[in-house]
Amino acid sequence: MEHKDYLYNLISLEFSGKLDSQQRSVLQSWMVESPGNLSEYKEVVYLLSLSDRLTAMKKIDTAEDLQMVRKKLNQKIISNRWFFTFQRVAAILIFPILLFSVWIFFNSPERKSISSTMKSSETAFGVRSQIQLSDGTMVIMNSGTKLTYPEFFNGDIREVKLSGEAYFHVKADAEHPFYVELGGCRIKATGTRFNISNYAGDQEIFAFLEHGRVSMLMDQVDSKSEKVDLKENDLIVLNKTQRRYTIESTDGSQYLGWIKGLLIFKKDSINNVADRLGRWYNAEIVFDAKLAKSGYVFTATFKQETLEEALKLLSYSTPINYKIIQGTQLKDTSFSKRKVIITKK
Amino acid sequence: MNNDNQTKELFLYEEMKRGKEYAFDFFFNYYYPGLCVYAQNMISIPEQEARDLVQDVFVKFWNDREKIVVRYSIRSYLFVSVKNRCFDFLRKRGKEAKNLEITNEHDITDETFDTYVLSELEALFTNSLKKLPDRCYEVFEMSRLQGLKNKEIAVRLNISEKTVENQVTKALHILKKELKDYLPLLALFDLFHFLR
Repeated sequence: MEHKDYLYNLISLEFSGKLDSQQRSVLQSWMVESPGNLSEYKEVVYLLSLSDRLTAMKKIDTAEDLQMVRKKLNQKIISNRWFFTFQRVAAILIFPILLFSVWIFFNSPERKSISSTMKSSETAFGVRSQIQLSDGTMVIMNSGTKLTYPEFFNGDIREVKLSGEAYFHVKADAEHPFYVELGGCRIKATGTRFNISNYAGDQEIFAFLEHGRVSMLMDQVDSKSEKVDLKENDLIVLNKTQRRYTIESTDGSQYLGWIKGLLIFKKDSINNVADRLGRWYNAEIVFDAKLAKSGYVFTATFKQETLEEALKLLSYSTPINYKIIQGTQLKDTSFSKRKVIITKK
Repeated sequence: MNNDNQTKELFLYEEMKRGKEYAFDFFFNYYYPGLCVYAQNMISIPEQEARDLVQDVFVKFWNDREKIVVRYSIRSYLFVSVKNRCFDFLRKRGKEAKNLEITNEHDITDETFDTYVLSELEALFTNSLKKLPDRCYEVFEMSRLQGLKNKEIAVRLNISEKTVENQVTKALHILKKELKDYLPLLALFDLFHFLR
């Protein structure tokens, strides 16, 4: 046994590379003595190598290297996915684009400015929103409004199309006049603040100039247009069917109140009140013929009142009765508009 | 590797194919240290280069996860990939690798790789090391697992160098007996790494 211990020690020394020549010859003569000795030698060597292996593995910082691999993966993803896809797309597109450019070049003697794509922005009933156009013009849109405008203004004029009600704060630029197309007439401005109400269902177009100067251009039958200049605080009311207009000077608060979240009536007719109440509260408002003929005017300011509260307040100042019919659920699970019936008391 | 592990790894591999990173992390944590040592045993390169090499294998493992066809096991896929990388590495260096021809996957069984799996090798040792007397364990641990020199151990434990030698020898005797079921088979497969 002691001899075995000595031999094992020799194997350890050999494994660490510290064996001298005399020890080596002792070890080798033992190894060749029998096949059993050789396999025992191999086993001990293997045991030693396994323990070394374990030590080496424990030294590796797996957690840190996992972070390294994640970094490598991210780089690969960015370069592979993006760059190669881009390269491919670019390679495929380069010839068609080249041909197309050449074609464009030879086929457009006038070199017209290529019109930018038209965009449109819409607000649902009962919702207001604000957008900024590419020239810096701010537009605040009242409920149920649609504004169509180019993504970029790049022609001689700036032109947008309005259906519904909006407040414009036009960025000043005299060289590129700003036009609001209203269907049958347009407003021309260069750098002003004004409000336009142009709802499809309304009889009249209202335009109120808060600041600066605007002109209204009304199309005539003989394809000419009539031009009307407005001064500050002018309100123009244009009857769409009769093509007649009136201009009056007013403080305009009932036309601008909606911007601050106020619904203001000032001696307004039942027609006007019904239209605006309906849009404000997203309800359908009907009234009887007697009331229409009565010539009542309504004055009130609503801020956060509900429809019920607003109607109650109106009924205090004028002899009216009202009835609210709640909306019913439709097949597509949405609800139909509430209906309000107003009658003369 | 037992069947349970095999099933678990195949499940995790499916998870990885679906883009689950945790599955990738599992394979990395489980096999990375062993693969690094394996690469170092295959070709003599500095530790840092071995780590880079194995990391590249894992990058490919993730990127090609949908393309890879695992014929035997994830374990053999990873080890054989590292092995092939090692040969590529040698080829690039212009070294002749005559005696290190790429073996078929058939030639290498999972048993060979088992001793390169940190947790499994550790488990094998831990059980056997429990059988060592305290002082014997202490000396063997310092000598073989911490890699201290006999002289250093002697100073630390205040014993003679001769005693250190004796304790290591004693530990080898006991461990050889404890691991005798594994050693002969493993030795046959693995010895060439050492003798190289």
